[in-house]
Amino acid sequence: MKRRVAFALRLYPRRFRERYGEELAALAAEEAGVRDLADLALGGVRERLREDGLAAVICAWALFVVAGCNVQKLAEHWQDAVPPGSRAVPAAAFDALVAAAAAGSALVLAGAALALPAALRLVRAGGRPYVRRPLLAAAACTAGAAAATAALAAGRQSFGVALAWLVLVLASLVAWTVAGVAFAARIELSPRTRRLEARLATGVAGAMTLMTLATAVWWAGVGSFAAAPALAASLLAMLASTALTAAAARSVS
Amino acid sequence: MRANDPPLLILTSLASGQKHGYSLQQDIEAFAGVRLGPGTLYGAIARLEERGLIEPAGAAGRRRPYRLTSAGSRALEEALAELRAIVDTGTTRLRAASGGAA
Repeated sequence: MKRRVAFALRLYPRRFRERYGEELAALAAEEAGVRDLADLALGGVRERLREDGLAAVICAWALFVVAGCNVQKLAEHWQDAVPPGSRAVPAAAFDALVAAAAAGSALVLAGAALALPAALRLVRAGGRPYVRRPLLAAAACTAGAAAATAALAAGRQSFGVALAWLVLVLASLVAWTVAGVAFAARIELSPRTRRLEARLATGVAGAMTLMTLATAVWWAGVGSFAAAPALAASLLAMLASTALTAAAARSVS
Repeated sequence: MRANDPPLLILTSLASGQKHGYSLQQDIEAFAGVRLGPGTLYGAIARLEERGLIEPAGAAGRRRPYRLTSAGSRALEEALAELRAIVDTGTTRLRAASGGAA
């Protein structure tokens, strides 16, 4: 039982553990039933989201973008496979998906812009060493992805270039996510900015919900056109990242 | 605050004097019939401490006691007044309804 309590305590952020860990362990040791252990673990997730909520939103958005791009790829030329009379519902769902994607992206950019002054303060206050490497890596991956895009646009459409493009685009997304998490973990936001970020995160969760629903409706409308396992995996990833964003939005405020 | 909110239950428990985590858990279960798990209890303690409504009353350790601050006492009074207003309104309306029905 002690090992389970110790494991659950590891879910808490270090600052919380240092402050309350000894008391929490003592209380959990009094009568640690399954419910208490579950409550202890859930409390750890809540505190983790409270402290790293913005980082969680950034990671969830990145996962959602990968899933969304997969849906976009699977949806290519879907109109050719669906009779004209049956296209109205999937077309409307797909339009809603695109509109919600634009709205979600705008909200994420607004959140980044809102945190920019705090990020600049961090850099000026000596935080440059913490964020320099992730930023350089992200910039390098983006430059590589841009070069690969240019090569594809110039007609060099070989399998190798296409693979390099895919790898570099994914690497850019991961690298910018890591850079965003590095900033989010160290910036100090005022209570007002935190509240605004929480509202934006709620909006992002709303856009994600709409996109997930739109994808499900589109899939139902196109029937067997899309590859079921790949689409199901994307939908699952969309659902998981939506739930994570909604939970993080509540915790950030 | 709602009547079964962990922060309100903790403030109410501390109104009778300082207590550590286990005593708080036992007291709240006794007067409200609600058992706060360790994660819920200490999450609420952390929020109340951040807001300056409670404070540690002893040195760090396995059984550190907490007590109400003056801001905590005021917050508890305000929350109880709000709840009392709802209770009074509900009671008055129920009596009026049962009187009208009779």
